[in-house]
Amino acid sequence: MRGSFEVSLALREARTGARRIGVFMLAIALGVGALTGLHAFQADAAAGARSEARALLGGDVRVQAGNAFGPGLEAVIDSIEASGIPVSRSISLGSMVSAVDGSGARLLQLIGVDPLYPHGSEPRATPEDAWDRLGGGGVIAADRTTLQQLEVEVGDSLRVGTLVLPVSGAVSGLPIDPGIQTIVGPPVFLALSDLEAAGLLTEGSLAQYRASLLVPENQNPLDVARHLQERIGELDEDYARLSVRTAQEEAEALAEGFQALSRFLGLSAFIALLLGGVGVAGAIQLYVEERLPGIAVLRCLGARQSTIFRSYLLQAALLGAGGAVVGVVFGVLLQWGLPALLASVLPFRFDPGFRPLSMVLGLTVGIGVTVLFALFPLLRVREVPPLAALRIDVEGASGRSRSARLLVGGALAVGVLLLAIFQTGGILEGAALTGGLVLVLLVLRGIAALLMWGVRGVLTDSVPFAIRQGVSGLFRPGNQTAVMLTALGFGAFLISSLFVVSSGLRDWLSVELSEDAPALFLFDVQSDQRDGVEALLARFGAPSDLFPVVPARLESIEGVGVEALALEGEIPGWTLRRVYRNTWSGELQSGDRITEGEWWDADHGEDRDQGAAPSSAGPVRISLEADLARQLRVGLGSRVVWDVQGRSVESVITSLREVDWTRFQPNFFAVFEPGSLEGAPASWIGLAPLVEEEARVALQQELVREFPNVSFLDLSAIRETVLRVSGQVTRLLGGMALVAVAGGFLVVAATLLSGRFRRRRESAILRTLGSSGGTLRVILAVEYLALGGLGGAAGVGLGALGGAAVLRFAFELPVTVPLWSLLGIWGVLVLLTLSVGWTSGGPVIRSTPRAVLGSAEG
Amino acid sequence: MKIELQGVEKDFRIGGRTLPILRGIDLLIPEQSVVALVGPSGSGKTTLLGLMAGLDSPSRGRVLLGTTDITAATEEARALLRARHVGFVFQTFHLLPSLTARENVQVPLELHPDAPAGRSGGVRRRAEELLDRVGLGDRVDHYPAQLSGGERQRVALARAFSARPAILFADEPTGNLDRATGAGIVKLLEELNRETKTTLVLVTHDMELASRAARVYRMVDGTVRPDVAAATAGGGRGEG
Repeated sequence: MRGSFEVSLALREARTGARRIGVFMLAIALGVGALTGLHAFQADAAAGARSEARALLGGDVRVQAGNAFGPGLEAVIDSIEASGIPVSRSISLGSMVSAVDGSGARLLQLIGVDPLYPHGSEPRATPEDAWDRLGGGGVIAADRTTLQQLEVEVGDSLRVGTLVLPVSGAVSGLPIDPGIQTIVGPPVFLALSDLEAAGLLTEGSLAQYRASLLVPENQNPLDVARHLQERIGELDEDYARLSVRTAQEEAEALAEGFQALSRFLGLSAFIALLLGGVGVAGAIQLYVEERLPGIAVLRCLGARQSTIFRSYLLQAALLGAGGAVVGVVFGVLLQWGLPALLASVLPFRFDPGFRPLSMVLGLTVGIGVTVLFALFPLLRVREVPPLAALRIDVEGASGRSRSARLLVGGALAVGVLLLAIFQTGGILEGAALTGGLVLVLLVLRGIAALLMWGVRGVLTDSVPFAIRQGVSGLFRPGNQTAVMLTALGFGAFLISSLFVVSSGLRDWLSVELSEDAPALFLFDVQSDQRDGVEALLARFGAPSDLFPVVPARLESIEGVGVEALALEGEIPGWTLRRVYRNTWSGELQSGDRITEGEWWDADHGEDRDQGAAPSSAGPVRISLEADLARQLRVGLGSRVVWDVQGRSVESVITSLREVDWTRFQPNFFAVFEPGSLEGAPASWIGLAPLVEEEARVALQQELVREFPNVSFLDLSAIRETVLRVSGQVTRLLGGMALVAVAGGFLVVAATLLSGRFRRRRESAILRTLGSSGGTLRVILAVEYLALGGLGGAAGVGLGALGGAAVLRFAFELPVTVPLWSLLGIWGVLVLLTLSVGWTSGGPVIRSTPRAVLGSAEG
Repeated sequence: MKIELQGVEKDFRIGGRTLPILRGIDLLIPEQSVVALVGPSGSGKTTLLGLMAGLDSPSRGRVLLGTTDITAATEEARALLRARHVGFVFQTFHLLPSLTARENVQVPLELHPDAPAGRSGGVRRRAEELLDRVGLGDRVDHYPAQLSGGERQRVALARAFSARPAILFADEPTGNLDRATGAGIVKLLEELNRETKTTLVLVTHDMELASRAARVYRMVDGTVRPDVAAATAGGGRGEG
């Protein structure tokens, strides 16, 4: 019987509830939408990554190295091929491609392929034989857009290195390396033999040599990869960036490609859900306030506390379910919108699919969060004594429910913790996030207590009545200062922290490419071409110094080999094993600053390239970038041995430099003193400050004609790409911030509305006693101004700190605080608070007090 | 201050139908007189009181407080008039729950248009004197929730008289109290009224209370008639 009463009561009242507070369920809908959409988006991406990875590797396992395979490695691969595993070979290389006359030159990704390439995907070609003709050599193919950009058609020829090849057709459906495509541009395909003949595979050309294995169904690709690694480990050959990768690893790496984005979206969804929860709490509070007389009557009629509590909990769940359903719809829209919105950011393409699991997750979490956050305001329902139906001044016995409050508080904390762990994907991160939020709540509560204590002291009888009345509303019995200030502050905190994080990410993305930045970046200039290139640049009025680049790896630090250091684990492995592109120079690069030690004497700078001999027969002097020095745990006087293409070069650190990596110029970790790397194989890079488009195009044509192996990037094109990518992410960040702001304001509105009933009754009595509308307005304005101003300021301040902490520690980015925007958020919050406060007094001020008193007693 | 009603009518619209509550009421309550309005529930007593106090506007007719026609006045003007000239005692007390007893009594003094700005020492003293006068001198800092029903009504009395109103409206002032407590409140009300020479309008269905007024009007079906029997039985008092 009782059970059915609870349900029927819940169903009857939920209709009213939906009408009264349904709009606030939008807050939970926003949270559920963010969660569902993101979850489905990630599932789509993971599925996409799995299918893309195999195509990208061109098989199930890929061996890749930065230099040509030696006889040992060739033998290993041959033996694998002999065991029945087909192997296709390819070489990928960034290089200039242009029309025959050198016009339309662009840096593109050249891929030399054999007839077996690609294992994993089926290329589509127009005309149909365009791809098959590649195998025979003597032709070149690219996708339609690239051909259009190069302004060539089928049958026209393209210049690649020293070769001129006719275009066989347009091809699509081929794996594209997203990392390279972002910087270099789309791929152009030609036969492996043609690429080798084009004279482009020079020192420092950044070519990638690849062998892709198509592992038969009855063998495990992981076993094959392991076997390969073992065999390669036994070889006595030296490779730069040698890797053996399976399609599964590649899929994981692809997914990592948008980890920062995922992380931010996860954080946004968490915050949106929390906001939704706080919004629900405010809305339920508002709803319960309205229902109290009715609840008291039900109690008089014999309804038990627990019956009423359960019925209202059920109502909350029903309302939450309504919000969650709307949220799932939002989520599906988000899931379908994100891939289009982020087209140039995503490392690979994928299509949205039907994700029932994400929908169920959204619904469950939505209802769960609603119920969890509704518990606190619903405790009020348990405290309504039946006597309240007869006497409006009767207070509920709140003392009895202290244990219930503790219990609910605990449940809420655990719920939030679980949600945080789920969204951040780590127990530690989740706990830190929850701990941070609890701390924020405590600080806000403390500020509220301080405010209540503080204003009591300053309020003397000499303060005008209306102001005194308004201010004292903050600490009088029945005040809502603590609840309102905490909820308001928390809303402000969440809004502004997300705002700070998204604006920090935006700043990071908006790479400053000022108008006078160099327009042409040249690389792969060989030592014997240097004078010619510099002369050519000078002829075009773009005099530019070229910098030598000498690839080298660390061999030992203070006499300890890098492998031993890597095993110790104190120095990050990648800093020990990576290839450093070092230079030598007599002069300190502009933008660099010596932080410790001294730069070498200027006399070395006179002949920086051929260089005077090192200062003595001992180790050569180097200047190291300060951050790298910290990571390598070295300082002034530390001895570092480099492996410069097989030759050991012993160095001593004589200075540490701070490098401004944001300056668009060649920057280096290690600078050697002049003369110290003499004879080492070097290529040269440089920047040409050429802004005039006409001259730039002419220079490009000349460069391609005279030095076909020299590559260059037209930075104005890159600038457009960067702007497009950062524009998309910025829009996404802005969108998420907007969701948070919308959710936050809903929360604030719900909180404020829930507090206005008491104020309305007080206003009505004051009105009856003869208070003017102006006096009432001042009273309400003062109280709500204090609440909004202080709660908003505390929340925004804490939000700025929280956002800065997330930027610094979770994203490891520099912190910038968008002061004016935060002030704007604060201002809007204050205005919102004020307007809700004012509207709460509005009916009293406008209508006759008789009517208001009548309805208040109703 | 006299109260005058000329042809006052009041309708309510309920569910699309117009329901007449008060019909053609003409009434003159002389200055400093004590008048009781009696009648059964739903006869329109409280509605009439609301109109006389300027808490509501008549559908037709005029209401004058002293020489001021409040029918045409804006709500702002009526609020000013109430602050200056009118006091209230309600059946359900209507104390502000968040203010102490003293602060509740201070409110009309502070809302009074002639209240000296920024100097509330006198106001405070006056509130404390009044609370002392109603026997709550030791409860000045208590909140309504900490007081009994009788004590709350005594605070309400103190509040009603605090700004020395020319007219006091009392709507069932003993309706929520037991007989003994009610009697005490009535006694206090009469004493305070005598001291301040206020025009007192009592709305009640307690005939014993009504009989203490100089004039008794009975409300029947939205009209007002002098109730000679009640007035004679009580002997009448306070006629100015």
